[in-house]
Amino acid sequence: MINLDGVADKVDAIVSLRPDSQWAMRGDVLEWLDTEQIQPTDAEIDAEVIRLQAEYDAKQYARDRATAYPSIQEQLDMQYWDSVNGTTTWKDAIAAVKTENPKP
Amino acid sequence: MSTLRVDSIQDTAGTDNQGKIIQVTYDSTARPKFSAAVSTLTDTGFEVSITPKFANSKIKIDFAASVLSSAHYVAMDIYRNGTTGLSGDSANGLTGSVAYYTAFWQNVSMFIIDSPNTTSTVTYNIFAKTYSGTVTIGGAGVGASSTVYPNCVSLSATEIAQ
Repeated sequence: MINLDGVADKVDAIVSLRPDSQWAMRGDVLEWLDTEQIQPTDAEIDAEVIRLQAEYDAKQYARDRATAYPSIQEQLDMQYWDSVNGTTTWKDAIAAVKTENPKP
Repeated sequence: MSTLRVDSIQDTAGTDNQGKIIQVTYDSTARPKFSAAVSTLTDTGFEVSITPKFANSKIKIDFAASVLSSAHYVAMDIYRNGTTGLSGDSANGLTGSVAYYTAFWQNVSMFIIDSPNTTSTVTYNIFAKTYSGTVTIGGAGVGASSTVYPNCVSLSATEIAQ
């Protein structure tokens, strides 16, 4: 999981590779303090940074959809009037958001 | 023209200097950003040094920084010469709850008054630990840079005469 800014870094990679491990990093220098888990190599960390970033980027469509959907109140109102009038306003609105933000 | 230099001017009770600031040192070094997942107080690399003019002086250490905790509490403390935690609480340090289940940069500050009882150079170090998750100190506003500039972490030591 990537923190805050949407940019994967070494901290994210170490947490992903060795959950609950003990370590400290000053700048780019990693001090491994865990006695049970082995320290990941630089290559493993770099590869994990790339993997995490790709995983995060691949879900951009879902984050875009989440902000583009009408509010729950608006959707409930659409569904009420659709049931009264026999229209498809709600289904159309949701479909439009999905179309505008396609899943890769 | 002549110059008169003396170590101090005191009243008859000898207390004239009491409470006066003798000197202030400020860490202006661009240091590496600190990140960790560690359950014991660990040296962050942020430090400031001062050479007291008088052995009986008090030293006030001030620290402020942007701190990020990914999951749970962060504890921080100020150590003297890397060995003595000044809070006297090795579990919780000077600060307890920096962040609790949040993922936002928070401004953390702490200070303590120390009595090093020496005229030799004293170095004060910032130590930190987490209870779970990770902690990052410094770095807000500097993007992916691994170097922290003094505007992100400020650390100073003030000598106060007694």
